[in-house]
Amino acid sequence: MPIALSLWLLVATATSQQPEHWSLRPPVRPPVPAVRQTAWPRGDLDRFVLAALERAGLAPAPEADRATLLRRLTLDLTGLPPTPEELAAFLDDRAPEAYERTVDRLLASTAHGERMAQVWLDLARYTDTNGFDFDSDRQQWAWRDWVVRAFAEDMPYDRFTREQIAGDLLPDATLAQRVATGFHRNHAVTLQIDGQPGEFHHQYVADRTATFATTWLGLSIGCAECHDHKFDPISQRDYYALYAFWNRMPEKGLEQGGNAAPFLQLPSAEQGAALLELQGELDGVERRCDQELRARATAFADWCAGRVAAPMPDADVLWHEPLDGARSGVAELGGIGVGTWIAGLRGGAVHLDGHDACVHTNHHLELRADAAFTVSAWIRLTDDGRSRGGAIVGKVDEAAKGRGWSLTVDDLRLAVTLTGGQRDSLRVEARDRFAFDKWYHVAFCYDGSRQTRGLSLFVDGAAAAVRDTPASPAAKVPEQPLAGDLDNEGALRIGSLDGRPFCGAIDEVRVHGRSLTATELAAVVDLDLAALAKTSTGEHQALLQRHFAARGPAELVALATERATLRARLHELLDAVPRVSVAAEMAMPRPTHVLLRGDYQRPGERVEPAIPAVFGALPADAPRNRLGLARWLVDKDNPLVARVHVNRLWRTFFGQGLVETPDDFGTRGERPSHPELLDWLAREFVDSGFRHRRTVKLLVTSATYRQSSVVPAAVRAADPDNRRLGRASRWRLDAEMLRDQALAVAGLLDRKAFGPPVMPWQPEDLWPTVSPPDERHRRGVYVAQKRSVPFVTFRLFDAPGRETCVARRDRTTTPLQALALFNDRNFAEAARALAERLLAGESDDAARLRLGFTLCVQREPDTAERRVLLDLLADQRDAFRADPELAVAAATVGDAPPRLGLEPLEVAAWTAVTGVLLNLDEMLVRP
Amino acid sequence: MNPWPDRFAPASLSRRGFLRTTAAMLGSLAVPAPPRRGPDHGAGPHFTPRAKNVVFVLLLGAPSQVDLFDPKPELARIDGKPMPDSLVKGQAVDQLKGRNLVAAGSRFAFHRRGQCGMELGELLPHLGQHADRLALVRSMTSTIINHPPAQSMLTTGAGETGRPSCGSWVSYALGSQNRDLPTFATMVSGVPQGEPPPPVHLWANGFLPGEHHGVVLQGGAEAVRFLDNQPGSSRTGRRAQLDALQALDRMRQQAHLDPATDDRVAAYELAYRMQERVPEAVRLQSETPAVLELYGAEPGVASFAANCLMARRLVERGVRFVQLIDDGWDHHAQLVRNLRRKAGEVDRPLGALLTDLQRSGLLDETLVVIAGEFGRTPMNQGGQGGDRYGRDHHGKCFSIVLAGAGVRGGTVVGATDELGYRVVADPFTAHDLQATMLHLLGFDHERLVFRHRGRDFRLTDVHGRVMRQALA
Repeated sequence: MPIALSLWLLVATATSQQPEHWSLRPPVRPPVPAVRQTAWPRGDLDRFVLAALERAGLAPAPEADRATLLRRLTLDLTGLPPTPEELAAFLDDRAPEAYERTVDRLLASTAHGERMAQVWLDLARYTDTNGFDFDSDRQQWAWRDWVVRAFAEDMPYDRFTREQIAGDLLPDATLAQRVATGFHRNHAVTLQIDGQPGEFHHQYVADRTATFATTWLGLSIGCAECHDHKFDPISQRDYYALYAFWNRMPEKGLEQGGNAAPFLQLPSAEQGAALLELQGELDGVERRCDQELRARATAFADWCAGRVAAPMPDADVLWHEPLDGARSGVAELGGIGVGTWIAGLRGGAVHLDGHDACVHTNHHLELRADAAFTVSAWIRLTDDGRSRGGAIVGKVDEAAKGRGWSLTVDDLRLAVTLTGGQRDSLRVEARDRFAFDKWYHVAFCYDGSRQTRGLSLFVDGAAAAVRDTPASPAAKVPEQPLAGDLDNEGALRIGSLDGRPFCGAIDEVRVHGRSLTATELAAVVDLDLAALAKTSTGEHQALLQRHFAARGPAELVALATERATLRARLHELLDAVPRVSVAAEMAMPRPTHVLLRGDYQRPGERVEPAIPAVFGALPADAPRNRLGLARWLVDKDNPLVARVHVNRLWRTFFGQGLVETPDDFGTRGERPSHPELLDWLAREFVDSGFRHRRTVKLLVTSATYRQSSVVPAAVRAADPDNRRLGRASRWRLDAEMLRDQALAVAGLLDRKAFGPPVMPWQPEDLWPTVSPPDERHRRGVYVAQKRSVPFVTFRLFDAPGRETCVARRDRTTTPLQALALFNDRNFAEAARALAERLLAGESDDAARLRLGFTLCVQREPDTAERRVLLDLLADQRDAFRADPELAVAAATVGDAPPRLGLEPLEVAAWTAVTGVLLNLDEMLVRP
Repeated sequence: MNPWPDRFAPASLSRRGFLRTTAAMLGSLAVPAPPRRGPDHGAGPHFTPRAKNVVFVLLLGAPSQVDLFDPKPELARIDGKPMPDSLVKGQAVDQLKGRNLVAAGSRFAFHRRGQCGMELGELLPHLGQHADRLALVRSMTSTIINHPPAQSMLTTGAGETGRPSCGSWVSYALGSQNRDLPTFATMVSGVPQGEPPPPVHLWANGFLPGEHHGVVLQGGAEAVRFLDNQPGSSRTGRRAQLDALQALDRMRQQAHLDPATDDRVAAYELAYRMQERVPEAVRLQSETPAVLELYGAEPGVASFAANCLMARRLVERGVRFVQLIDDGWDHHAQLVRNLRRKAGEVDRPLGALLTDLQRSGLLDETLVVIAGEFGRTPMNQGGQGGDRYGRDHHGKCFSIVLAGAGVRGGTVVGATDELGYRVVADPFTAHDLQATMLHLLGFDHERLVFRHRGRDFRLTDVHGRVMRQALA
């Protein structure tokens, strides 16, 4: 450390008697200052601003013109431009309350919810994928929709806070309140099975803690993860006491794809009714099955007796691994998980714990793609809260793109995969799911044809119904015969292949050298059942009964089939029900320790959940969990929560915060430009019941907000950053707004709200598969947030990657943005659609230009502007006339179907003009 | 309330100061400084830089140091036998978990190269010709042995995603030398067919302003994202549009008086120039047959060789940081065959790049770094003997190569034990490499900071020390 600096630190430490940092004291309503220019203020807010201006010898700017005001208001409150109709109505309405009415109209719209959600989603690092290596999809949009609705329906911020922090802990928590807690599950989760769960779990909790602190407290506390810092009000102990609130969720460090548990399933009304009905039917069939079985006790006993130990049918067994533990000689337990030899169906079996335990075998067996073969085994799945199957047996070379073969259970469904190489595989998956804790005999047969139809699956000796190709379109491989062979360098293994550890028991693995018929397979099953029937002590009664039902008397078989069909339909329906990951509290909370130097492997002193000491302590009767935390946050004297939120609103509607560091109200952050105003607003907010619309309205109806952004150069020079608020700020729109606006003026915007994310077109190397054309024009808030491959144009305009909580976006200006606005197909298409709209809407060029200007920038072009664009139009008509092919290309750019009845030449020439309109500086900014 | 006097954090420390100056001096693609932006220029390097440019070659998947850079005769001697328990007992491995750990000696010969006699594997003859210009660091270590977080660590200094990549830091610190081209360009090759492209965070700006995001130059038709006009838009048509656009923006500026419009007009003009200059910069047809032959590049064919040649062309044109990502080095099995193929793809172009940069004198001001995210085990994977052995991920030692500006040529830094299992002298990490890069560019890695969410972030986190042994 430089000497000068250390001296400086010493002096600072010695002299400061730690006057409490401003933001840590509860806001006190300050007196409203007196002003000289008494006619200007519309309310107390303006008096604070004006007083500061007057102190600096400055004056406010005049009010902006009405068209500008409407554009500003509509963009700020809804993220969309006003329509020509809205503009005309507003300009015509000369009533004094016209402005206020417009504010009310905009605040009451779903679009307002969508616009405000955009800000909140950045804080909440919302995405539609899990991140890390595989970046698999998750369903979290129900939480996103909750946020949109909360803002659109004017949910007070205290409730908004309480439900997101601890909705699940509220008395009689509703479904929506539990969905709200999804906020804390938006962080990335890893799917790798071979990382250190503790390390990842620590990352999740640290991320949650930091995101909570930035979002609600405006504090950046990550520094305290490793050690105490001078001047920092949050000590390391404080940090881990806060961390403790977020360390009590029943979750794993490593997840399995899809939604990380705990999650909710959210059936629609129709889905719910259908589920109930199916369940009822199924219960009925199950009851009848039981009755029939009871009625046939004698027949069953006879059937069991009839399973005499037959000799092994002539089934060309190439390999039989009985899994009888040490006795079998060739099998050896391995992996990092735990494998145990247990009693099985015949002799022993192996139980694997789902943490990458496996059975190695020294047997040398090479199956070829041109040969027929059958693989069979007995399995019993165990539910450990996360595993839903795993690899049963196979021989796969992970390093050679999975070349080889495998029999697996994926998400409780039996599946077989033959892989010849990259993008060269056959796969068949069973339609129906297995239940946990039941023994099943499973098999696949392959006829050596290299075709999918040459593969069949069998469960309990009967052919299993096959499922259609899995849902993910990206995974869809065109039906092609297998090109490569199956022989490979991998090891023949039971229980774990390529990171798919099996959880449960496996017994009697067999490989047969031809494709067995169903009868032959049934005979193999019988052989094992016979051994069982002879030795069973009742433990396997259910298994025998099931087989009796499946292959015994016709009535029973019919019932069993019906039951299987109903179960399959039930699972199918459950699959279609959307999920959302949410917060929950462990029954026995995990202990939290201070982690020395932030290292999860070096726990120190144990801490209990608590608020940082600088804020005192939770009331004695408050629960020491998220609910207690939530109550403290929305206490009327919480020093930070209201200040941080009104500052965020201020930034949303004025372009920059009163505190310029919205993520740092701590000692290292900026001080507020108008401290009294900030405190006054915070008090107004809290004392009025944290009301959202009321507070936003307070801001946007102020004289301060209504100022013009146009000021003489000298005035601008006196306050280049507009910290004194002597004018309105003018700034480039956010990424999503730019796209929404272009789609809106082009008439393409699809205003459908809510629901699963959509994937608009983007270059094929980024998103090979996108949504169908009729779903591509939804608002940006519904565009899929894929962590590893984001929507590139949004990133170019400073949309955050959503890796971490972001409280402010940059507003850069780069040439890549210019390229995107002209050449991203989405924008090129919007230009074409706008051209068509103008051509269809008006019959002469001047009127079309007027309409275009009104749509885009809410005013008419002046003479000079008209001349520039009409010249361009004439020039482009000539150019396209000379090159009709080019004209056709220009007139059909993008996916939206062309409007009928328009001349390609005209569409092309006008598209050049609308391309300019969409890129106008005036179009890209909020005025 | 900032307790840090400004002079202790020279590279534009207050957020506000930064925002004022960003477009003027820092942006990789920032527009030229409008005159109003005042005298904030020139918060340059902390000390005289040795290097002006960096070519950072990432061999993703982790190439085998045992077969390329770090000869281990003793390992070959115990080939096929168990590794000594004293070394491997209780140590973390990745896919080798639960398996017998058997030594696998390299099937490749090592040769002494150059005056210095540096030993390099037989698969690197072209690189070997430059031995006297190379600093070979055999003592790199990584605590992470999964690809994505380790790659993130190598490029951004953190295993979790969200931090700025080194190219972005360099762009932020140094600014542009060329107004028509990006400051930080990244190119990708070798992605196995059907696999996803490397993740964006390897060249993302993290919390640095957006203009520091790496610009992906693609081998295909469109060199930069959205560089090509849409069908139906000609270059003359675009010119006419831009002329109209500029005229309208200027007229309107008379009304709204916002100086920021200057930036936007300039950005559109720069974009238009880029549409011409970028294809020119990446057009290999203009190279002589001899140069193409030197690299083994073929115009119009995407390859690592073509990317190396493009790297030289970009460096010539003032692109500060060129990141070449070559994927496909994860050789768990059939290492001999796979490594021969991959080394065959990169050795000649890398040799050519050094030759070419050296010939034109650019090597004196360009740092070239060749690195994977971690190493590979001296143990066999896959249970196959002979030439069919494979190697698992390994973090206890691996090798990287430095060359060019400020590098002490003909140096071997650090050492591993006789079986190539762990480092025994001068251990270094990715943070040390990053500190070294910044050092050569004239920056103290502890003072190059950016405040984000109340904390001053560094590329090297709280670690990093300059690898002085490798420097001249």
